[in-house]
Amino acid sequence: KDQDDVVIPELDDFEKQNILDSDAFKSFFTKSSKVIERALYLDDSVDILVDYTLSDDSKS
Amino acid sequence: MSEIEESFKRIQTHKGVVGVLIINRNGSVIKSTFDQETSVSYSKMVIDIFPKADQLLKINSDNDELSFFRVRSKDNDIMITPDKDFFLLVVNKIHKE
Repeated sequence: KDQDDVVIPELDDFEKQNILDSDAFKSFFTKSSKVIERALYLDDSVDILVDYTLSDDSKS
Repeated sequence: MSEIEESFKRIQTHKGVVGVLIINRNGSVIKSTFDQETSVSYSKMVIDIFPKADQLLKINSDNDELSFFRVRSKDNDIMITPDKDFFLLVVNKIHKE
């Protein structure tokens, strides 16, 4: 199925606010934002994709 | 400011973060820092790719459920946390020291 055929239903501000205020949303966001924040902070200290061989070469 | 607003702001202002998007299972945008067009582009991709990523994990473990996925390139990084009803997506630019 082509991406362009997919129609994404648009919500109005009232509908959005109702969702944002719901308990289901709050519990989702509390959990998932913690996961994302943890990942962001870990990234600041460790980059798993750093190519050490490259930096060793450039130093020598 | 509510606790939700605070975490949202904290993520949004974290170094490297380009934007944050929250959608529901249908892909409808609930909250976004992107413009409407960009939000919908991300949204379509997420709801397309999510079932496949979920299936990928189920190959080895039938009853498992995808809880976090991430795609990364040299310069870009996208993290997605799905749950029963919603998706949270964060787009990053990789900052080099």
